[in-house]
Amino acid sequence: MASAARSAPLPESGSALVEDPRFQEILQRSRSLTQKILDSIADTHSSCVHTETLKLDSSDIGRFSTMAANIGIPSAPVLSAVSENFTLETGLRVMHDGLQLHQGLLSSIAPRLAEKDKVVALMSDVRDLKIQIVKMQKMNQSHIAAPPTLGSVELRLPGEFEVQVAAHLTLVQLQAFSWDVARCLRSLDHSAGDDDNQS
Amino acid sequence: MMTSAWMLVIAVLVDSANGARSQGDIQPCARIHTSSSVVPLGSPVTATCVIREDCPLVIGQAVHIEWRLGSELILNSFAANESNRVSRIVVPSFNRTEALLVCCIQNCSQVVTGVQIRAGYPPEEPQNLTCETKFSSPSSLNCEWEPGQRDTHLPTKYSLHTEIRDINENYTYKLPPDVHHYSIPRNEFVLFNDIKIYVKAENDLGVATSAPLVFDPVQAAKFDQPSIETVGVEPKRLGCLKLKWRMSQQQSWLSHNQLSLEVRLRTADSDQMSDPPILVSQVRPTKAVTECCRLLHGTRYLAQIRVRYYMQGPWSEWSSSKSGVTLETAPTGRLDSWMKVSRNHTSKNLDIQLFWKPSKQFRANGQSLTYVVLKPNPRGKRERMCSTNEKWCAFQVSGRVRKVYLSAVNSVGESPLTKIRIYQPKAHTAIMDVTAFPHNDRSFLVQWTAEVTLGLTDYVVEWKPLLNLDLSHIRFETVNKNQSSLIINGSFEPYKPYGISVYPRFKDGMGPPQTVNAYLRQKAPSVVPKIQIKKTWCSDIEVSWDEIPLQQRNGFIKSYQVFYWEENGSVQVERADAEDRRVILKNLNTASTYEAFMMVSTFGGSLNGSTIYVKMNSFDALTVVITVTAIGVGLAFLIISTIWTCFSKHKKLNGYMWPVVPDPANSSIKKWSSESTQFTHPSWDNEEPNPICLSHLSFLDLPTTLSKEEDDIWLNSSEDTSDLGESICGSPFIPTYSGRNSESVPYATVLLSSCNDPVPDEPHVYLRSESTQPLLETEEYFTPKCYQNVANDRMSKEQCFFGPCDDDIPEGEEGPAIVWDDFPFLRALAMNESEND
Repeated sequence: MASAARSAPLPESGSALVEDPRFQEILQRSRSLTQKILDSIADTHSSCVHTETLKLDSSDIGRFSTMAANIGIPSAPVLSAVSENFTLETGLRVMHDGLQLHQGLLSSIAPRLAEKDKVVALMSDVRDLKIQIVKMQKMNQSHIAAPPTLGSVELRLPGEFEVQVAAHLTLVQLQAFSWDVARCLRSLDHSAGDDDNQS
Repeated sequence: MMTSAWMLVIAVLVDSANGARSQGDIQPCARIHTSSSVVPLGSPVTATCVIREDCPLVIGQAVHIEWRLGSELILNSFAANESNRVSRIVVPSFNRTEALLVCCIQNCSQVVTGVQIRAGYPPEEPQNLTCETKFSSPSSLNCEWEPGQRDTHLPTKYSLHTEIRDINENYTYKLPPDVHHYSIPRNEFVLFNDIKIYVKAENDLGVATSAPLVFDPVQAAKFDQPSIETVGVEPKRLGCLKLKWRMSQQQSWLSHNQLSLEVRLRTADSDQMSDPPILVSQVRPTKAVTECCRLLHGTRYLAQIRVRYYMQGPWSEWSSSKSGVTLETAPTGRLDSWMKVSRNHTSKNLDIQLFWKPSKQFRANGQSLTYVVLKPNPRGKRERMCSTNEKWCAFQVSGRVRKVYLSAVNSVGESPLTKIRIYQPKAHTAIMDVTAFPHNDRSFLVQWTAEVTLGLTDYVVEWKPLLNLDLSHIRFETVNKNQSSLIINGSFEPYKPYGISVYPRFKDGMGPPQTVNAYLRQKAPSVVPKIQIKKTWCSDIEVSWDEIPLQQRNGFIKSYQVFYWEENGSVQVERADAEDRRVILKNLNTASTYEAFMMVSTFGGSLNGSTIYVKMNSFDALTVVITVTAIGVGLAFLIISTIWTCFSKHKKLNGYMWPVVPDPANSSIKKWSSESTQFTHPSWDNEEPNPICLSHLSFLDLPTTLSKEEDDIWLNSSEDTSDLGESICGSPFIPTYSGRNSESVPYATVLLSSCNDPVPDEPHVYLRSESTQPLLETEEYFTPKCYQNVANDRMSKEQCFFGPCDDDIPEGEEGPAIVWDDFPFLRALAMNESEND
């Protein structure tokens, strides 16, 4: 998927923007933040999800789809590699919306957790990445992003189990979404070359 | 005391005034209006005191309002009474940080009201605001600052303000007094987004704001120390090392960002890092490979790195070291050398000790270096004299050889040859007064005086540890002839001796060295030698001791001191220099036991030895004199009385002294029993001859084995008995002898020679025959081989004055046999007779 993303052609306007060093600098910061989110999800999960059956590495989104609906966890928007059919503008918007969604989910769950430091830190990382995405959107000027808000998503969390499931599903979904973000950003990074294969 | 009482009164009155006011129905008697209750220190303060008309204290009477600041009355010149109920005061300069200003009446016996006034300074701008981002959990942005230098004397509040750009979020953190730091939580700062931070200080006199900081929190992070994974080389990249490194696990997410990197390298055999570190201003952890070039060839380097955010922020700690070796090339540059030459007296060759060291330009360019010494031979080739990994070599060359060559070889090639001239040893001296002093903790200052400079080319300063004479420890430095001092550095150890020599080198040879020993630092010796008593005489004792081994001296021996004292006596000291290892303890009391110990001193300290006890022999001079005098008097008396007896009772004495020898003509030998002899000479057989007093029968020659001393004694004594000896001698050893018939023929004499022993209890006697018969001279048929001396068990062969002792004398014959032995002739006759029978 990564190689496909790199090889995808960009629209001419988008291509010019992506080549802008300032855009590239923000892009690299965004890549770092995305990596930071990915690196910290495992620790965050183990700090707040104590139910043994809820493992981060399992694909539980399908199994808990009913519960997710009951709790009120929306699905993450689908992020594709930037192409003629999926423009840079769309990609940035999806990234922004997805990050905002997960920021909201985390902020709704955090008050219900006994150990919330790592969730708060993760939430801050998601926010920071979203700010970088907004900066890129501003440079694109095709879409003025709405001011960042910390609006929480309304979740129905009647009991501790629902809280655990909500935290688990949010983190699993955020991890998957972050991988998509990382791939998408790498496809835009002009400095990314062989070194990415080394890392 | 007075002041505190006065303050107490004021407090109570002010409090009562307030209380009256709070009750509502009771109005305070007076009020004070001031310009400000908090003023800048030193500024003027204006206050007005207004006393109510209906105040009971002043009703119906004229009052004079006075002011007090603290406990001091304010002079009237500063007060202006506008009426007898209103007074205005101006304190031109309020110099106290806090004081109570009161107005009072009746000579200030009644305080009507007061106000607390405080003074200070407005806050200064907070200084040195710094922030550092911490990524470890929980993440935070930690800021700290310093308040102004000046004490405001007023409560000052500080607050930290942040403004996050792009999202328009502002935060204010109010801090407790005297707290000058704050940790901003992670959710209140944004990574990769500038934040503006400043500090406000505020008190009653003003507000001051620090210079703002604007930065990206990632820039303010001190990263964890990175790690070097490998240090390697690439083919044909001479003098280059390639470092592969990575960020810490927790900060690997920064791999997409640009960082700055610093590399510092040092050679493995050096203890100093290269200076300055090599800066690689722009690196990406994703391409975490950095190449460092312009390094020495074939050299092992230790590398360390550190990182920071691109061109900004604090550096991380240095990583741990990792080593790598650059590619090898042949050695370059020349070697400095020092050759000591001496003539071999057996082979006419020259004994050579050659030392060398790399010059500043020398580069080994390899890990393993071998040194080769070559000598030109007559065939034009070079002959290898040494091949060693050491930096010295000893060999012999013919006296005709004028030079040798030195080269360094590694696995790739060899260095250019260094030509070394052989300096012949010369007798002429060029230097004197060499001194060496510690220069600092690691070096010596060596100085010398040049005596001769004609033909001088340079000096060589050589030094070595005296406790390790291995030639590999010898170091040297060549010094220009115009120099007369040198600071020598090396791995000198304190308390260890070093030998430092200065050699002059001339155009035609090398002069003899001047050598000094030196210590970098000195301390007390490790041991104290054991005191040994060498001699004792009268009241003096000479004590001596062994030299302290060099490895235990720890410095130059300055002195030895022996402290000694008798019980309850004063301590006396005898001192000896380093070279003189003996002292004499004088005027000792022979009746006392002395205690003594030794203190050995170097120029760095002293050490005391263990205490020993010394007792003199228990005799004194008076005892010796008395004893000697008594013995002398006794001897003199004995000699006198003996002489007197000899002259006065000659005959009687003869009869007593000399035994009555039976007349052989009128007696039968068989009847001449030993008892008769015993009778006439009762005490003889029990008397052992004194082994020191020499006795003999004077008519015989002495055996040639006698010692000279004995001989002398014998000769001296012979005078007294010569007549006796001559008279009896019938010795076959004296053929010219002519006997003389007399009434009484002495048979033999026993002479008391001079003696050092005590005077014997009984006088020595002459064994004498009273027979008138020419006893022996007629016995021509009997010629005994020798005279048998009076023998006993304790007599040695040397005491056989009459010839060789007969060892065949059977043992165990006692009593009468011994008496017979006393008379050898008679015994011989008896034996002859019995044989005839």
